[in-house]
Amino acid sequence: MTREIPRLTGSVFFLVFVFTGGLRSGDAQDALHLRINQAMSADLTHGTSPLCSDADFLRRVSIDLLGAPPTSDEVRAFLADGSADKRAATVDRILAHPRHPLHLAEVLNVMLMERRRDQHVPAAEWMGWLQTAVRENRRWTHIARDLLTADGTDEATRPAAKFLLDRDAEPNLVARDIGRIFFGIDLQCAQCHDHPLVEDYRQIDYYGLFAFVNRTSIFTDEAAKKSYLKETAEGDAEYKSVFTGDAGRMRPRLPGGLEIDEPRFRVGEEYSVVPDKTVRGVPKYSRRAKLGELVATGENDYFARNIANRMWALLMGRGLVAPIDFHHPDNPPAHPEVLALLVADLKATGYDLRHLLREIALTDAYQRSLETPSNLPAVEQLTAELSGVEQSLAALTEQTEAAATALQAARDDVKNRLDAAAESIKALDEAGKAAVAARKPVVEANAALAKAAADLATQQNALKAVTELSAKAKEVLPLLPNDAEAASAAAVFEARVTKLTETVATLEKTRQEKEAAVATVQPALDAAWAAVDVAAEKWVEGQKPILAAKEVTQARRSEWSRLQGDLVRLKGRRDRLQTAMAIHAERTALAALAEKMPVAEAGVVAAQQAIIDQQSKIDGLAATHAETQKTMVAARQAFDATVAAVAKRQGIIEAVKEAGTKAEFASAELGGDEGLTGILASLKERSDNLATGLAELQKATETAKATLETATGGEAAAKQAVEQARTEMSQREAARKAAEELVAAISQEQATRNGTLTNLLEKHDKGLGDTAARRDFKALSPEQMLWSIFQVTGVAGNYLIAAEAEIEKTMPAASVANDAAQQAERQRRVVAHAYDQLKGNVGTFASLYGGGPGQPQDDFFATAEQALFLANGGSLRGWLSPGGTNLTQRLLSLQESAPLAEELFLTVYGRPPVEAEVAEVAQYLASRGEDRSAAVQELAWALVTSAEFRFQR
Amino acid sequence: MRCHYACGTADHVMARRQFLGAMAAGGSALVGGLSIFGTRQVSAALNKQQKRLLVFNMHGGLSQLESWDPKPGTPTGGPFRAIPTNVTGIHISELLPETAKVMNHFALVRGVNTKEDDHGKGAYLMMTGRRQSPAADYPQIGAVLAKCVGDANNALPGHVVITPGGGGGRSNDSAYLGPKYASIALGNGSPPANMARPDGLTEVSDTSRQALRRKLDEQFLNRRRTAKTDLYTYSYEAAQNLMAEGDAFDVSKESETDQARYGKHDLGRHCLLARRLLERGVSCVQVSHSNYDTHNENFIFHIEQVGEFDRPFATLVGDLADRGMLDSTLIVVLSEFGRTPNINHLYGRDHWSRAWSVAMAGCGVQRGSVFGKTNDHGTEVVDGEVDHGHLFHTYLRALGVDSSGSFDIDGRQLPLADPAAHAIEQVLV
Repeated sequence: MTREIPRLTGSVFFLVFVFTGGLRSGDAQDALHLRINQAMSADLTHGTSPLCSDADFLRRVSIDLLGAPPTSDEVRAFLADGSADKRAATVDRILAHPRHPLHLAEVLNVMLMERRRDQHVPAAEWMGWLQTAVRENRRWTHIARDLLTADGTDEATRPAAKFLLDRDAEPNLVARDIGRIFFGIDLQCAQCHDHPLVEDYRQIDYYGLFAFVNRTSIFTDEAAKKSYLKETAEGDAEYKSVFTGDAGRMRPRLPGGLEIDEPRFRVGEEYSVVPDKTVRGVPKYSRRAKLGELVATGENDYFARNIANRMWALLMGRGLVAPIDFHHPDNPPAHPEVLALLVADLKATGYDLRHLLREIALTDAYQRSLETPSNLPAVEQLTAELSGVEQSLAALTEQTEAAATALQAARDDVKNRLDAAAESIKALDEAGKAAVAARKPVVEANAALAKAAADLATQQNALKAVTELSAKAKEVLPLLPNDAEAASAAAVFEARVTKLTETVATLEKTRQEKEAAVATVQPALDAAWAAVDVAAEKWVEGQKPILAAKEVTQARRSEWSRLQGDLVRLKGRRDRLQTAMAIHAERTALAALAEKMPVAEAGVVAAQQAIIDQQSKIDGLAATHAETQKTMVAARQAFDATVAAVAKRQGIIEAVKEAGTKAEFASAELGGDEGLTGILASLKERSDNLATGLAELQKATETAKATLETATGGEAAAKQAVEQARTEMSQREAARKAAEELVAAISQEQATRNGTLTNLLEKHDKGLGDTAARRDFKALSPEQMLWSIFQVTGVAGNYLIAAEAEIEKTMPAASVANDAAQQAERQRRVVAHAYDQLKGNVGTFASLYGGGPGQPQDDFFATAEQALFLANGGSLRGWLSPGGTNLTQRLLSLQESAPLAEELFLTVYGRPPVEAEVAEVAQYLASRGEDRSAAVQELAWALVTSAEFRFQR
Repeated sequence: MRCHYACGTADHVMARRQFLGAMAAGGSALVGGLSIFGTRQVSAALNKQQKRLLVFNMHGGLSQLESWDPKPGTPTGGPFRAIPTNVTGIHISELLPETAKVMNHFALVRGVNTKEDDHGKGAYLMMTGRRQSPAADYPQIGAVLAKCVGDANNALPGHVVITPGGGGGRSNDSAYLGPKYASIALGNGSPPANMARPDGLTEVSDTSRQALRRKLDEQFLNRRRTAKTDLYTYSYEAAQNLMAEGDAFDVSKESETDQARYGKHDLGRHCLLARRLLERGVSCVQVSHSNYDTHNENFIFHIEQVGEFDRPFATLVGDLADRGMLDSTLIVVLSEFGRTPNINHLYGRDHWSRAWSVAMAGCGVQRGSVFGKTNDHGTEVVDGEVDHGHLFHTYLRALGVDSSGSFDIDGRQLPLADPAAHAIEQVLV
């Protein structure tokens, strides 16, 4: 199929193609999606998540391509369909659905205008233009050309001028956005200097784009109160780096290309419509039109990669290159082969986006589930792979460095040559200025000549008329011989003729003088032109080596970019391999720790038991010790008592002895006093008795002493036994502590390693998402959020019914019963009518869920105000109130909780409920008692506000 | 089942922490009601350390000569006197008698030269610290602060603008920082939309449906959880928290005495509301006061406008000082530019960006100081000339933020403040 098929034929062909669902005729290759699958499986050697369920697939494609999930009946039908190719058939059905252009137009609108406020082109006209473009499946190249070149004067393409008009045609803004939106490169930081962080974003890239648009500005037709784009024929893209001071002038240049050749016009000859205050100038050569023309060829790789990547990102939620406006060698695509396949397909089909979307939707990558594949490749495989990667890395690093050096040399060469050619540029500028100066007298002389010629012509005409009158008057005179007045008139005419003849002669002379004056100044201008031509030739000659050097630079830049991209990708691969190996290592270490742990724990238990045992031993010994202490105390008391008794007895004996001595002395003095003698005898006897008793007492003391010594010995032994046991105890405690520390150390290491493992798994998982081995959650856009809520709450259904009735008035179903094309048109009108009735709500959702005007719109964020809007705002509450055929009304008509749960889940989630969910619904209804209507609305609300609804799963 | 997280950004970590916190509380919340989700106590405890910014935006262009840099008795000075303040040697316009009594908290910057006399462009550069450029958009100071020092656990928005009138809703002043940090406008101090449970929705209904939503989320997210899903599910808890904090926006909850002290006119209410919000941990509150664009009858208008401003403003400064909040709160009084020293034939002053003043107070600045000087007639800066870029760096530094740092937006390093400028060290503590 050639690219140049006329649009109408193209779309008819395409429709046939869609409905047959087959491959493009004459194309022997496998379908694109199969080739993508193949390329990806070669690249994804570390496992992929399985394909998603039918329900998940249907919800995905419906939301991605129609903007809203399927109805419950559509889900039922799809799940019941047993045919093998039902997914492909569904994608084709959806792409042919009249809702698809409405949705894709919204996507393109956000992509192109980024929710800027309407200024010069009303949203309705703009959206209509986009919808038609998608419906007719206009080629992206043609759409892009119109967006970049429409100036607003042609009603057919005026809406397309919105892209520039609503940016006020501000050249820096437009240059940046063209770079981002059409070429996938955000050159903002390269406006004032080479990009500080992106090696490959150069100031010349920015000014190359800037040069296409810096001559364009807004022209306002005050009378018509309408704005258009105008373009001047002059205005250069001059740049100067604020870092290096390098400066230059760029002619228009597409990213990755060379500056383009431009025609030169002589001063005053540049415009097909010369601009004036009230006149919109049109240059003979329009740089913007040139941009459109270049874009329309579809040959530029940046242009192709950008839209391919954007369409991939639209369906996948993440570009092969992410962020989508950040294509550069240090941010290479996750799968270059896949991007290359997409680009090749675009070029082969002439940028057929519908075909591209179909093929992407049919890839395995699109249909992967959210779950992370659990198995990792074996360590041996990883090790082998890693060593291969390391080797390649070493070689590639060397190559890349060499390429970078060569590129730098080429850049220096360009710079040197530019310096060398500075003279010729200056000379051309000066020759141009001289020509402008020389042109001024010529223009003035020509103006004077024109005026003289005009004056002459006026008088010549007068002379001619008066000459005729004079002749006629002379003819009258013979007929009216006595008419003095007539004679006088004839004389007057005669005189006038004479005078005018003189005037004409004078004026003719003046004219000739002016002509001569022109002839005097003209040679200077001719010479100036000639000088310009000479200077231009020299300049062209001077440019040739520069162009050659730039060509070399560009070639080396491509080579370096390719190598650098490969290098970055290979490093990414190495990181992923190392991550996988680190996961293995952590798991192995954790397994070893898991084995060590029970042993260590048993050690603690044993040590604890030993301590318990020892403690009871200590307790026993301590009791014994206490007993011996008691015995010892008793023995000491007994001994002390005997000692005291002896001392007492000795005292008594001494006293008796003293009494005897004193009595003897008294008896001797008194000389045999009988009484005394008796007392003496009695004392002697007493003393003897006492002495005998003392000996007994002393003997008892000896016994008590021996007993005490025995008891003291026993106590010391018992004490020592206790101390020994205590020493043993502290050893056992140390052993327990050591055992516990071992457990703690293992536990600590487990925690650390688990933390590391978690991080590694997250990294691994991110790698799977980044390489599309697994699907990520994709949040619904603000538009998808709105239309999905309308769809599931049944608002959309109610409006479709109303729209059907409305269209029936102008296009009755009966009248188109036999015409398939007319039936399709009727269906389109019904869908469009319902859409138009509801689209006013988009603004509310865009302001809540979308980014700010002019900001990137692909960031996800969630705020309390969004939640408050759905929780407390009147909108969702209204949409959930039972009415017509809406969701809550349908649910209320179902008495049993099981079918109610099924209808609820099929509608809101696009899948049947699992058993537990059916039970939950039943339980919820039961718990909410009498107020079934409230309960049903709460159920629907909870599903609509849950994460499963908010995200593509 | 283990949940895998898809990214390691700070937002993600934050979201995870919040989410886990909410989920931990969630178990009992099913029984105990929703209030248990509140984290208000936590944020109240953090209040003292958390840095905050209070901006007074004097729309139209406050005259430096009738405020911070009076030139009495000169041809350009106008009719008003300069009065001493409670800082020896610092004199300000007699239109600010109450503010003069709290001057010990201020650092006046009198050498501002922004070279931009257009309202829109002047406002842009003062609020973003950079000159407007068609191909780039920069976040305003409040958004930068909300991201850098905001308390993620706080139910209240981090960035609030109290406007004299008009509607509410989210503004577009956060540029690449995203809508999360865009200001919530409180038109004439009104609370954000949808804060109250609607009539006809009972508390039981709301509690039950929220509990069911949580349960559904819990089950679904067992399949896979990411930072995005956490952020989303958490937003409903944040909404509940915000509803619980609904009082934060209700100035009538303040004592009669305080309402009288601030004055019951709009600006008085707005200043009191600002105090309420700062006390509740909002990172950046901006109060807009309009309109100072006095091309004619400059002096009469400044008597009215500055006269209205002085008392509630000084009361607010004093209150924040008394409550110990001034040590963590930076106050900035700015405009898009100042006004011409030359008095025109309509007794007005026109736009003037070459020599004007910005007042700062509180956290991180040299209190009771003046930096920069204009000449005797106030027509040129003669010492300490600074511009919007320097001021922007200074605000950040005063609040403990490294102004030479960058945001990582989608892998792109975007400097917090203009790398070509730097903070005014002499103003900083």
